[in-house]
Amino acid sequence: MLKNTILFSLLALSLSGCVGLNTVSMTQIPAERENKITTASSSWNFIGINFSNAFVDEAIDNLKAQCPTGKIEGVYTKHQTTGYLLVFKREVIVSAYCNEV
Amino acid sequence: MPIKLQSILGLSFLLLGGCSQLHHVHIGDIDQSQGRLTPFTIEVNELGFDAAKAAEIGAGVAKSASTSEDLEFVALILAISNFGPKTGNPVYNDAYADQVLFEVIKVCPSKKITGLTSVREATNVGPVSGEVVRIKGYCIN
Amino acid sequence: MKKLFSLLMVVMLSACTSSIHMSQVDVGTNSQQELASGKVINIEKSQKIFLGFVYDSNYVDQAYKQLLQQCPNGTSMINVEYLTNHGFLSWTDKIRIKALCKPA
Repeated sequence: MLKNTILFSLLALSLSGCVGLNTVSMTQIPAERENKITTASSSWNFIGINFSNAFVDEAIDNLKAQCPTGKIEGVYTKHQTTGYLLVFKREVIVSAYCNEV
Repeated sequence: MPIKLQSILGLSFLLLGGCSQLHHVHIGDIDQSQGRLTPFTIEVNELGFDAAKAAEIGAGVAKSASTSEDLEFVALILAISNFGPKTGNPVYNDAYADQVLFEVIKVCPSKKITGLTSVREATNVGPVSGEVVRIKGYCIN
Repeated sequence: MKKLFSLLMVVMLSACTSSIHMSQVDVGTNSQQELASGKVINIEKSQKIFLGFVYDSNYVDQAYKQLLQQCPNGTSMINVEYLTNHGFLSWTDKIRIKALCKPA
């Protein structure tokens, strides 16, 4: 019974995911911060085997679509990986400001 | 495995693990429209040392079985005492790159800077390394 | 005696190691005045982690929020450093931001 409880607790903890921050990047912050735009894109893999990093381009495209005629400034990017036992989620979370020139 | 062979393997591991390793690069905007560009480089580094790896190598090349066991135990203690994600070998000073921003501000007499490239790299020789933060850029004259 | 010395060595070597994962410097202006007269600010946020169980990276967002508050006119230069201080079955992740705020 105790063994099962410990095993179940460990499984529950593992499935709740462990976040590993890979990198953080920031560009210059503008004074004008009225129009905040955000996007996130992710890619799942099994035991860390990936065949493409196209999810990063997806985030850039999403950001550009939200600011088609303006200047995207103050780009704050977090690249993190969340592990659920043998499955991993790679994620890019981006926020920025869209300012009309 | 004979001790001599283990020593050779250990030494090969040390040499093969050498050379340069690139961890992270960030390239910024380059403005060539405002004048002539003069390149500059700012580099800070710190001695990196993976004590657990050193103990493991020691255990591999130790002459007696008891020494080898002791060193394996030491490696385990070191590994659990230095828990956490690592980029390159661990260092004993976490502030070695603290001054890079001020160095970059100071470097250009014109106070006009462009094309900053930030590199995090390392030069490894087994468990010892030089952990480097390098900022390259251009002063606009 | 030899064992005690070895143990002491191990304790010393295991003390306070760190790893700098990245250090990025970015410049966004070529205005001489902004670089010469801007105010430098320092922000540091951290997260203590036991046995590798991490559920968010909100401390980074907090650091960014603080940067926005402290530089109301924007920034002309930023240095972001991401590092880890290692410990016994635990570690501390840190974000250090140094920025040059644009003068009003």
